[in-house]
Amino acid sequence: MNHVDELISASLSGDLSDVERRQLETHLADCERCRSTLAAFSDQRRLLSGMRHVPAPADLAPRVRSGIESGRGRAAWWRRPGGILAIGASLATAAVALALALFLFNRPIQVADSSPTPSSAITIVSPNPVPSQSLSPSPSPTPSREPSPTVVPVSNDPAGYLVYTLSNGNAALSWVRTGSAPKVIKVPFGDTPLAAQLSPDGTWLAFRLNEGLKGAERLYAYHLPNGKLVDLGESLWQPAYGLGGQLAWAGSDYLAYTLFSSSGKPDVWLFRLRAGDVRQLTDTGDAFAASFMPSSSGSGSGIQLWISRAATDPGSYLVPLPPSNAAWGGPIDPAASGLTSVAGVYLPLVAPDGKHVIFWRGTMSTPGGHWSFGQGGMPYLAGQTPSGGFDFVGGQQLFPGLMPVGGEAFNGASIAWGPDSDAFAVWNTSWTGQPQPAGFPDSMRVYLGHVSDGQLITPAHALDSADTSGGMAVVDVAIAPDGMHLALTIRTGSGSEGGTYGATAELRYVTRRLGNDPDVVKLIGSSGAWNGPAVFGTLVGP
Amino acid sequence: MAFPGRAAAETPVSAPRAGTTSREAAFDRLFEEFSAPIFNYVLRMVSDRDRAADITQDTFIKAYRKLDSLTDDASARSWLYRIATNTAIDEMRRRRFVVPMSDDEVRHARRPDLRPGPEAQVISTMVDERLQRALQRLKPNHRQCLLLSDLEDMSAQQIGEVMGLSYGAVRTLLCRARGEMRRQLATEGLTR
Repeated sequence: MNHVDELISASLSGDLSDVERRQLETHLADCERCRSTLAAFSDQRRLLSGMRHVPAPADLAPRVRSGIESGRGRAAWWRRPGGILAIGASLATAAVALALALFLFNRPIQVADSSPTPSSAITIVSPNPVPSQSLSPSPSPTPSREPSPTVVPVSNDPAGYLVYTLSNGNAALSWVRTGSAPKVIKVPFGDTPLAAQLSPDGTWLAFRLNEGLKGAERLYAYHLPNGKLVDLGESLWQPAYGLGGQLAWAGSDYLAYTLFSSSGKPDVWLFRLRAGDVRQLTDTGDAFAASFMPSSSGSGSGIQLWISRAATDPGSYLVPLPPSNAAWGGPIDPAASGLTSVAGVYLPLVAPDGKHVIFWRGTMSTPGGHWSFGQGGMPYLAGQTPSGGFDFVGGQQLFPGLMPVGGEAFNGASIAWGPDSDAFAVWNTSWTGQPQPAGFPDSMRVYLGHVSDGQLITPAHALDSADTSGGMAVVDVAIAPDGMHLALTIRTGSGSEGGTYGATAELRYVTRRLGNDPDVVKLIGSSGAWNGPAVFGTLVGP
Repeated sequence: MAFPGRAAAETPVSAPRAGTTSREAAFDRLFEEFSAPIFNYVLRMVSDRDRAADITQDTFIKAYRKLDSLTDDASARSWLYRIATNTAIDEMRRRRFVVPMSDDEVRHARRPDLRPGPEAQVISTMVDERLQRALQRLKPNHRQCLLLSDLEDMSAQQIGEVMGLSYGAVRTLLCRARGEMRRQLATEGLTR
């Protein structure tokens, strides 16, 4: 699709301005391809408008009348006792601390009982017993690297992962704790999982699901010990180029995330664990959740969340939050709240130890309604200053060798830190400029960098091409505590109905090898299913 | 009062009681004017006559309940189509939602049969069948905006009101839908 196609399409329904009409007519006079497109679209419109009119059922009027008289609609088959329980959150009346109170906002949350039920339809393969398959005929040389000074005495196997299966036409989403039987999560809406984040205390799993029929997403938090499911809301647009899909946990207080309205306006939402409710933090229609400052973890006070407002010149704000059981003061406009702000910085992702931050700079635009970088988009790494802030001005390019030419750079990319605060991964890169060198950066490769490796990301930091070979897209990347193992969710089958029904994904557990040794790749999960994303960490509960 | 396609059309939908209020009269006018077009629109969305009838029924029950929120007659059409669209999406979504089924529920969760089965009873001509097959292979939001534009002859502005999208987003979506429909019609041998 290009701009002229859009003009041709709009011309059929009389949605062109005079200027656009003249522009189109001029173009059509010289372009055979576009004349053909116009003819095809016109034929299409003629065919559809001529579809046979089917009489409505004769009993429609009495059925409607009966429904109105009885005060209810049809007894829908999905409405079962014990299904979704809507719990109304009471309206708070007090102003919230920190002078953020503007007005009250009330949103009921939905909590669904999710009885853990083993499913015999899923065969589970633990990461360990799977024979390793070296898929790489040509490993990429890995830069040598000093071991991370941080010793993390936890497993480098995934703690668990999500799996979405179809069996005889029935779909099921399950949580699989490594080495245990799968547990079905009864989600009322959504299908294939796109991202998952474990809370720092290992009790909650937040995840994003596709809603293939709508091209939307549904977000949930699943309590691992008791199987409770919290509906975090529906996001009616999907983040573009990995910008805005963060699921940010702050200890046992908050989960911050972004929801898009039906018109594509993003705002930041909070799941308040202590209060057990879901609240809208911003109402500006341009705000994205980025990350919490690590001092937030578990303290119950001093919680600070980085949020970003998308604009031609974006900016970020550090929002102080009260403990999550405090009275709620309603949504805020960060620009009007006197908060700490950093101009030109977008989506600052703070490392778990708080010593570094990865962020974006560039000029943003909204092609197709989605915020992304239009010119000069580039991720940077900055360190902490003695005062506890970040040296955003002195940040260095995450891809030091890439030179934006003529403003062409990244539209965006997905970025995640490893638990060791040293490793970071970049994937789904959308580079609009000339490859530098050929094939770099590649949207189908995953790049693994380490802060302790001063080179950051170069072509040599790409995982082997075989690690993602045969895939249609890299859906998610999770990094193990040692920073040298990764769990890649690779979409391998497209499915139907918006691309999610019947879609498949492989969960590939990658051991990154140094030097010229090929990475080791093991498959986790079952064939013919959507496996992943996975999470690392220590779990609480079954 | 006449209900399209219905012989016993004299019975107003919303007037079971002795006195007919202006509210009920307004609803009857809406039903008279829009029940058949809404049914056809939904039928093209879900490709099943029984489901289309159920969705149309629910659409008008919801419309009756929300009638007080309709303050402008000029926007009645967009308002009704928005209710119908959302009801159809909810129905499609729930038919395939994610939950383990007991035996008596399994039949409800089958994937919608996209082959020319029940709809073949409704759509009799070959061209209609092929058009319907092509439509059914589109993403639902592509299908919606294409039907609203080419079947219902709505402008981008009106489609935006129905689908909750901006004018620009509708133009982009519609263009993508036409491109995809062009490919699907080609597979059905319906393009030049």
